[in-house]
Amino acid sequence: MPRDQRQRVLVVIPAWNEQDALPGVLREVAASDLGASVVVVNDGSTDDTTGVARAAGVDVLELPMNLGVGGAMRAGYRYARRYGFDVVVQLDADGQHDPREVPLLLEALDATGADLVIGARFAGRGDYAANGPRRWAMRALSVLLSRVTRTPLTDTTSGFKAAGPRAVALFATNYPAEYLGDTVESLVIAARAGLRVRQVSVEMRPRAAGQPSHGPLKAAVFLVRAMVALVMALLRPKAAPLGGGLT
Amino acid sequence: MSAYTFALLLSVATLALMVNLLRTRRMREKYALWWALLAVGVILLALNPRILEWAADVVGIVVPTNLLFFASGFVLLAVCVQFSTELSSLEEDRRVLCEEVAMVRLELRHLTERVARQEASAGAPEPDPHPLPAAGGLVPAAAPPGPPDDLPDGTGPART
Repeated sequence: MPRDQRQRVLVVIPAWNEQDALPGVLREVAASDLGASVVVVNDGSTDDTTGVARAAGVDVLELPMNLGVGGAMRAGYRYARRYGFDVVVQLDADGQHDPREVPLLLEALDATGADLVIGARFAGRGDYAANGPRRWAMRALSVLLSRVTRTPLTDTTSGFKAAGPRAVALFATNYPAEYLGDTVESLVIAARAGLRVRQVSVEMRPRAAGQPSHGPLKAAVFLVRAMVALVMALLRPKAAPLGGGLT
Repeated sequence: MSAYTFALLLSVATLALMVNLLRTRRMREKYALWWALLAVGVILLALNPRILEWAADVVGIVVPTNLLFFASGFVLLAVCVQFSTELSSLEEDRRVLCEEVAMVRLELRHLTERVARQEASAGAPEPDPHPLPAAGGLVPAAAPPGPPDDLPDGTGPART
């Protein structure tokens, strides 16, 4: 199915102290000719994230303080709503996500009629691997969230996502800033609001700069916090109907 | 001075403090509720200690002072919970304000650039009667490259 060219697409790049990796990501985005607008959400960085983004000719939403990925993304969704974008693509600033794969996500939005498409790392392509307890934690999350969203998901903590108009409207008013709120809880919110969630497989690259978090203890803490986040997300009252509230 | 008089004086002082803080608007009424209830309760108990014995008997606590300790602990818990919920809602408010500030700053930037472009194309700009402070980088040295904005109001994002 050909892409609807009338749809306005916004690529939101949440960035926190990413002055080293961001220029490369922005170059790749520009080179992959997505026909989309780009906005970097500077999540209270203390480095020159804003400067390097502006130097690349990209608009920057500067949050006055660090709100976390969830906070940065809701700012992006609200921006999208305010300026009439139909589709929002979330792309990490650390170079893990290949901007050339954005069209895959957009095609999946159209082809499957989904409201939210996740670029999954473990779905057969690429060589991204988490190991040990962290992998078990992610497996457990996948199994549980697949049930909640009624679709097979293999990588629920991926930050590479495309949101269609209904998801943009929902997330503009309802995107949690809590730990794992941008991944686990946002999926639960979407599923319970009746949105269709699908995944496509993408290749994931090692981050271009910065340190990933590792270690068995951290993985255990991650598992516990992920489970708490999931259970709380399921216990919460359903999201308010679309349309109302913040714009 | 008996312990009851002491308690009475202390709780009257607390109540007076609450009223004064409310009167001078240094504390909002919703935060005073628990403290005021506590002060009134202690005043009642000091005036008539039999209330405590009666209440302890009703809930099945043998030593009446234990009821007092339990009740004071409970009030402190209630106040802490109230603070936590108020803090959470303040954080959410703060988040919304952050988003708004970020968007307003970006719009201001677009407008400033647009004015600068128009002035540049219209020749020498007229002296600005209300110049913006130079600090803060509101006026860029040069407009960033890229096609013109595609929104009617010109404040929208540039397409790459």
